Amino acid sequence: MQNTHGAIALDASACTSCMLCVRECPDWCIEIDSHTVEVTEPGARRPRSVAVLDRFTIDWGLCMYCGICVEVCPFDALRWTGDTDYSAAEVDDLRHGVERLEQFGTTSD
Amino acid sequence: MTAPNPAPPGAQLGDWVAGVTELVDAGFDYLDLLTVVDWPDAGEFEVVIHLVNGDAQGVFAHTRIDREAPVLDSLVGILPAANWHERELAEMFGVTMTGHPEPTRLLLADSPVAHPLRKDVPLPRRQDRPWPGAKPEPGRRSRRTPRPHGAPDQPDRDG
Ligand code: SF4
Ligand code: SF4
Repeated sequence: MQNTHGAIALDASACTSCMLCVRECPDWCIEIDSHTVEVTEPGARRPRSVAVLDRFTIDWGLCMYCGICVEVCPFDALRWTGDTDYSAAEVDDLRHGVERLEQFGTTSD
Repeated sequence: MTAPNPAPPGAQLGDWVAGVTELVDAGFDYLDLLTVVDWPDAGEFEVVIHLVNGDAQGVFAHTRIDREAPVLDSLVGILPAANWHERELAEMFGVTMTGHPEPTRLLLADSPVAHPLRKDVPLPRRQDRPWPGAKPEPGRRSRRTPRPHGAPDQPDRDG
């Protein structure tokens, strides 16, 4: 697909909960909850703090598809897909969590 | 201190309708974009138009109008497609379109509201909803609380 794009997909395993996309999004579409856990790796002297993503939502009812979140993510956790078939009857159903965001781009069109 | 406004592309038109008519006569007769940029510090609105010709070449032009009493001559006489664009700009920025054939609201409810695309009009939605970016990222040590761009009490860091 050229010169068009659809939904933005999330790769939750690449996301570090850094909040950059949340803060740069002009429409306030993205919300993140996260916490840190201490991980001690074998041989390491001190435990390391690792971010765990608890919730990541994009509200497609607010999104204007500017792509700033995709551009700004330092870890390529967000990417454009060609998916456009995600309309909903209720506004609340336009707020997608990790599960649905990870599915975008996985079915070929 | 504010940075000087970046000049938009294309010619600055002194006489809006005459200037646009010249471009339309030169073959740029497809209206692609008609919008307004708000420059509150300069006390001006910048009206920007993008026209396209039959070879898909585009041309920009712009003009500045006073922000306190914004009045613009309507282009509908030469570009009928400007009709809805001008109605949208009238309600979003509060620009009076002189000579518009149908100067009524297009998108907003017919109730007294401010012109929502003016930069100094706070969006009510932003006042009753906390900014999602205020939450600290994991492991943040700095005590500086991040602020949203363009919030009324803090100038946008880019502008
Ligand atoms: S595309 Fe733009 S509006 Fe949509 S979530 Fe990303 S930054 Fe926000
Ligand atoms: S910018 Fe990327 S890594 Fe950071 S929170 Fe957003 S999606 Fe996750």
